[in-house]
Amino acid sequence: MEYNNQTNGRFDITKEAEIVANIVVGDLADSGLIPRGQEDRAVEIASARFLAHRRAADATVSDIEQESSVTAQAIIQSLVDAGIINTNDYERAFEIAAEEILVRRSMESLR
Amino acid sequence: MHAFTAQMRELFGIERITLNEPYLPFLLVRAELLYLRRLARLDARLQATKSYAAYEWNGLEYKADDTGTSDDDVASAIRAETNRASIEAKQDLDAARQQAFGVTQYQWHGGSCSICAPYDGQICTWGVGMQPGGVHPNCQCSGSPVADGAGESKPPGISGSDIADAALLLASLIPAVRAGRIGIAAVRGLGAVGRRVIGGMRRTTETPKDVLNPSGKPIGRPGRRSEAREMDGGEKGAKELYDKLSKGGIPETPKGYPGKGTRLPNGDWVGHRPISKSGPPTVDVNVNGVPFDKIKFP
Repeated sequence: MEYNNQTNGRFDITKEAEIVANIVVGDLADSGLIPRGQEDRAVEIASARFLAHRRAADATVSDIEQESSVTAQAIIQSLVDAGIINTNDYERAFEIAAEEILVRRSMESLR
Repeated sequence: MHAFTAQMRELFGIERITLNEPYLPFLLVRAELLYLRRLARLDARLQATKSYAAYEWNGLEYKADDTGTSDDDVASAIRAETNRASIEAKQDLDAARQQAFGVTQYQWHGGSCSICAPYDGQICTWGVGMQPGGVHPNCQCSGSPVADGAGESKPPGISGSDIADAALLLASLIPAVRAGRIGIAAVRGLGAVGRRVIGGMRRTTETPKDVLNPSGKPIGRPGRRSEAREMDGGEKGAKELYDKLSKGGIPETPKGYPGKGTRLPNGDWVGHRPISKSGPPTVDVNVNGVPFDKIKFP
């Protein structure tokens, strides 16, 4: 797959946010943690949260494992706050999101 | 079949050999390559003898008078080289036959001169000791395979389609040889390891893209999002797919990746997560032209 997170040959963080949000929400939905019909809204929320978090964290976090973990926390918390993910599922949702973001980031480093 | 037999007879006189149909493409292409090699050697000799006074043979320099066969130096050299190239071509074919049919020995034929007379009729082993055709300038000796498998249809343990694939590979090189873009020695090397080439053929013809997107249709079934696929088989299925995709690659696991990865020869990358927190074992792929990035094995 091509990682089309570029615009005019330059990294586009908005596109990256959409890609990551789709990955995370897709896996959460596959795991039954996001109810059917809520995926699009979840992607919107996750994308916006990712974007805000990355912009704020860019200058301070360099370790991708730590960054993935913190980003996952932010995204999952926003989905819990929106009532899309049950509070009791927070821990499992966080693990899923953290791993998928980490995989995404580590594969990015290959390019 | 008739054309092949005629060509074999013309080039190498092997009409006595009974060939099974599956071997034909391989041997036909090899014969073509050997013929090219013969022409190449002859051409090289012609170039070398334009100002002929002496010539090199097996590391030693000979004058035409040493061989005493002709006053026409150029004609002598050409004849010698043609003979030698022809004999060597036949020996190469015999060597190929040795590989294909399991023949290891040959009988020495010739010995019309005092130097070679002791070898005439001897049973020798290919590649060991003095070889017919190369004993001295104008050596016209040759060897023919004997016993174990010569002229028989001993299966080489590979399929006809494997051989056809190898033949196509070798045939594809012929234009490049003719154009001088690659040396005949390189092609000859391919022929000499024909069976190994054939053995690896199956592994090299199917690319990761072919595996993941056969005939343009993604493997497995759609996941929740378009960039994910699902397949049955659990961890066993995931490992089998990863092993298949990663053949020929170099281990490369990026920092933080919760599994192991492989960089493929064409730059693509595949990874395997035996235990995924998001659920089932997963194979991650970054393969150009493949429209998804992971396959889950629930």
